[in-house]
Amino acid sequence: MTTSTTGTAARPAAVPALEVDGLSVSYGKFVAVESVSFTVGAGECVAVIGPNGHGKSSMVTAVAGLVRRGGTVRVFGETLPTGSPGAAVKTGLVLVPERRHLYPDLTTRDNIMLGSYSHTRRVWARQAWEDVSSVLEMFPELTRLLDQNAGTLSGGQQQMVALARAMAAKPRVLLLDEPCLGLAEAVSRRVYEWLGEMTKTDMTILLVEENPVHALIVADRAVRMYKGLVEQPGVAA
Amino acid sequence: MSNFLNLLAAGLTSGGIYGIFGACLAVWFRVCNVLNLAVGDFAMIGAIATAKLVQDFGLPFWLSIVIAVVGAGLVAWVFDRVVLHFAFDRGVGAHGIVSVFFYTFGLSLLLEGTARAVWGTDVFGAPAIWSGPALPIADFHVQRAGVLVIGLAIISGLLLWAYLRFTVSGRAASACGESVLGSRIVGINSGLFRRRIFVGTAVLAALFGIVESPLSGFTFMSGPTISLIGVVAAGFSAFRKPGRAVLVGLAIGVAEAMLGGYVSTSYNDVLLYAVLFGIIIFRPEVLGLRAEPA
Amino acid sequence: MTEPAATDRAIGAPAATGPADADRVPAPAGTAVQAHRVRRHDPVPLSSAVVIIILGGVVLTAMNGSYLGLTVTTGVAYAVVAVGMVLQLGYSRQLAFSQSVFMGVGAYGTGVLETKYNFGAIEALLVVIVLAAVVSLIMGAVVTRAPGLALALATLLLPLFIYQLATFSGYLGSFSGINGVLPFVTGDDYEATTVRSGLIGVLLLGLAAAFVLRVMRSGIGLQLMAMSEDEQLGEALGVSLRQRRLEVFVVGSVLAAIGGAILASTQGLVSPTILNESTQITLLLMVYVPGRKSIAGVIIGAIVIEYLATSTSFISTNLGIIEGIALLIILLVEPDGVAGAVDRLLGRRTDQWAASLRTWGAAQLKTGRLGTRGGGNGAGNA
Repeated sequence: MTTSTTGTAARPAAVPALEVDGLSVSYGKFVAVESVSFTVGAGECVAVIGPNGHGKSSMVTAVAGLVRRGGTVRVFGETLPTGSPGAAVKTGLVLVPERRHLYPDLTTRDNIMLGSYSHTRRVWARQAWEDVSSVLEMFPELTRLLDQNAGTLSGGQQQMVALARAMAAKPRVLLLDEPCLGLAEAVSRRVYEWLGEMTKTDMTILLVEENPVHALIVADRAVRMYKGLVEQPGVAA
Repeated sequence: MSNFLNLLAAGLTSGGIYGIFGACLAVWFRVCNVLNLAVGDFAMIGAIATAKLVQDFGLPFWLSIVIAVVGAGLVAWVFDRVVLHFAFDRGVGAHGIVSVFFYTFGLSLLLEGTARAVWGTDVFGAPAIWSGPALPIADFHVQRAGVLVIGLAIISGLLLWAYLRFTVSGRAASACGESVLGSRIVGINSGLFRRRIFVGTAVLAALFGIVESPLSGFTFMSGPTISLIGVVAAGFSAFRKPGRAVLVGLAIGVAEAMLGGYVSTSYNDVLLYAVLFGIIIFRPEVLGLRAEPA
Repeated sequence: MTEPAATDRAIGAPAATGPADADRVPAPAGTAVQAHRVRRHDPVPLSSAVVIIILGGVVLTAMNGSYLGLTVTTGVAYAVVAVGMVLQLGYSRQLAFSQSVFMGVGAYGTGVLETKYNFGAIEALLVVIVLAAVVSLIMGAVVTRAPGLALALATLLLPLFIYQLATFSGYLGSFSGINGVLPFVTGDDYEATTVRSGLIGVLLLGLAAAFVLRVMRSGIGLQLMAMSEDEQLGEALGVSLRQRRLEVFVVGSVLAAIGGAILASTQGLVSPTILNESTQITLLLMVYVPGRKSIAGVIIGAIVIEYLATSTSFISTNLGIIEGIALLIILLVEPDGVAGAVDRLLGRRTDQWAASLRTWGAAQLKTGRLGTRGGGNGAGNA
């Protein structure tokens, strides 16, 4: 029996958690992603693998609404407007970006707390933090770092903060873009340990990973991107 | 002793202006990494517009204040929508260290030029909000407008500090300046924060211009010098801390007054600016400056 | 400035998409000789100087000492300063707002030497150049240590207290300034004097343009561009940051002083307003609106803006509005200024010289003429 992490009512099994239909991304004349289509079922973990520079990150940032795109993205049947990351977060689609993009001069506590920005109604930061502090149960190593500025943390610690921030946003669909980029082997193992725990819940995960061996340890199946196209949708892990 | 206290009062009054402009600059820089070189011009608009509405159009004083302050806010809003939105939200145009200075520098030129064309080159002062003779305190006297300036500067500085330190919104505003992408992925609309704080600081600057103008008067050219001192005050707060910027501004004002009173009325500014120059060059870490933005 | 030794990375590498793409590009056969010819016989600086001098001479002679001719000569003075700012602000992105102060050094130096110590005009000019070099070297050794934003802030303060110093100094004429500054060359009458002095100004402008172009089209220019893109990367490639920053500061300051000297000689007086922030603002507009990387652009821009400032009453009264709008449009639409827009319309890049420089650089590397330190990293996106 899977453990719900989001506290939402179970959805009918037929509605995919994430549907990407005809997604395309261009930077000027350069086409980074060309008409990509795939689905991710509720509770699935799908890995997007492929060589560097072939559109994986562009695809996932476009799904998250950070860049303008063509095509359609639906989260549990709800169509997301293009170029609106706020709308994506409100529907429960949360991205952990490549290179984390934390707020270096804010504390670890504030970094995590701000993950809840889109749904908190709190005015005071302390109260908003109290609402989300339970995410520390997943990342106990961050407890002693709460008052430290995020910019002074190690790469591995920063990745944990990025994951905690994402979890504070109460995601239904979690996008991870190269979560182990630049991290030591031991830290990468810790990240995948945590991901493994997440796959046992009803969290839906789309994982962009250059290393297929790592990815396929936790993923139910893989999607391979090559030159901006999905080459092999649905390859079983 | 009374001379010292009179100088102190005068210094705190001018320092209050530097401080609040420094606080406005610090808050806005914290949100979007851009210096608002037009902050003094918003004060000028507030002061002169109020004076003209009262004197030339005979409007009630409080209505004139509201119109002037709302007008300043509207100018800021339009500038953000027409220029800054394209520059920072759509990624159009010049970036890097040029954008730190030149967008608002262009606005400052525009506001000065418009003020000159519309209002001419005279000196204007809005009517005093709190009229009456100087207040006697022990052995010295403080202008009522000065009391208002100092009081409002301290209150505004405290409010801005509290906003950034204790509220979710304030934390989100800080996050915008530290990582635009990092703020977008949690649903923070950095463009909206930039606009709100730009308009808010323009309104605040206009209000201060109205409060202070009975003491010194404003011309169309008054903006840049006080903007510049505000930049220095903000700089000494590492462009991040409005509370500290208010304190630094007050200190600069007091130093200016004391140098004028005890050293030289002609060279007080020279000495002050030279000292500030030296601190910036020899101790840039006081400004908490990071490497030049890419 | 000495020519630097280059790194062993090919300057001619195409725009890199990753480290693997920045491989050494072997120069084609025969290129070594051609590149050597490009380096030795780069015609652009000299020919630019010749064009400026001839055109300027023709224009000033035709104007025959009229008020318009005087305005053009004043514009030439600002143009000399603007040419230095192309190197400082345009290519090196050294945001130092000290040019008006050094214009003042040039103008006041000229005025004091001539009126108090009976120097001739040309003698005073030479002394002023040396003085500006020494002062900027000392000041630059200190100020260029500061990080970019600190340098910008500190130099923003400079006009404030230097202006006050000058206006309170009886020696410098206080608020009245200094009168009786000599023209560079005296003619038979006022018109001839104006024309001949103007020709000296044009000659100085041509030399300034040639010098800056020569620097920009050399390995040093590549270093400056590398520094402006990424100082850490430039330093890692062997660029001596402090040395280059200081050199750029000195060149910009000396050219500003020369501009100030020309201005004083043209107007016959030194006004303290040369030192205040409005002069600095005018200079910035003369660089950013026409195009901060275009020598031709800033020369034309300086003369046009100076003309507009003294033309019809409507324009001069509303010049602030015009300048503000122009600057904002330029920043949004074409950050490389009017010159950049013209180049785009004409379908070519402003820095086409970089292509020939890449060929030269690749050839130099192949023949081993460039060493292992100090070279650029390929033409940055100018």
